[in-house]
Amino acid sequence: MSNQHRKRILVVDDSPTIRLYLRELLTRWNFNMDEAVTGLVGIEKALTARYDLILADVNMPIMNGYAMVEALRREADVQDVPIVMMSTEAKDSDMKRAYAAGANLYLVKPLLPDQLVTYVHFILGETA
Amino acid sequence: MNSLLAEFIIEARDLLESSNAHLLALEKKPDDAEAINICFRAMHTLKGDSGLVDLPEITRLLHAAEDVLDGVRGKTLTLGAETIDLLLQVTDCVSGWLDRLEGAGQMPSSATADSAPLISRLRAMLTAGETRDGV
Repeated sequence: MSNQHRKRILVVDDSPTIRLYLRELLTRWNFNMDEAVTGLVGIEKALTARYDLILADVNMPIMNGYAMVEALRREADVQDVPIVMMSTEAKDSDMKRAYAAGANLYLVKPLLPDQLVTYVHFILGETA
Repeated sequence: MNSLLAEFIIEARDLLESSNAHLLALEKKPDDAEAINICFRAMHTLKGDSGLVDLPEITRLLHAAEDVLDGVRGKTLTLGAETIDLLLQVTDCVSGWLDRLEGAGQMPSSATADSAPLISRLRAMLTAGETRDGV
């Protein structure tokens, strides 16, 4: 698949370990991955480039994932971009908060690579 | 050592160093909400990362420490000298494991047994609902 036809995914996570893991995984699956280390940088990037999907952590310094998703959903250009939130928290209250903020899907980490690719293709409306 | 584990060790050392500095600051100013948040986030992030690199002993220990700090954040637990000392023992324990991972490429075989008393004490604090030594 040529580089220009690859789907673009923005990963927003303050953990370099998680970003490296996702970079290796998403690149192997022929996605183009961009990354942001804070919610504020995530908003800046999402407003200046077009992404097919945003994968966002919940617990981040300065601006957490919920606040970032709420802010993005107020922006007309980003309203239709699917957002998947990922956290180690499996409580109902966390999931409800993510969906109330505007996330399309809430996933509990850690996820097996095959599970993650299945969810990513599902949310992109593709067959894995 | 694979690149993911190497990245984890670097990140973990940074977060543990930050946690230690803020825990020591909390000894003097135990109601510093920002310092408590930084410690909580460090434990939370490391817990998640350790799950990714499949180090369940670290995940279990940091999960208990994270829960205690969450209780402190939510004011169901008070942060006293005993709690801070216990959390410093947690970061010390994980630091030792990182040394072992870096040197020998694996966790010590005694990791589960070594951390069990720390986890028990952390869970006992949560069960009690408050630390005994208070502020």
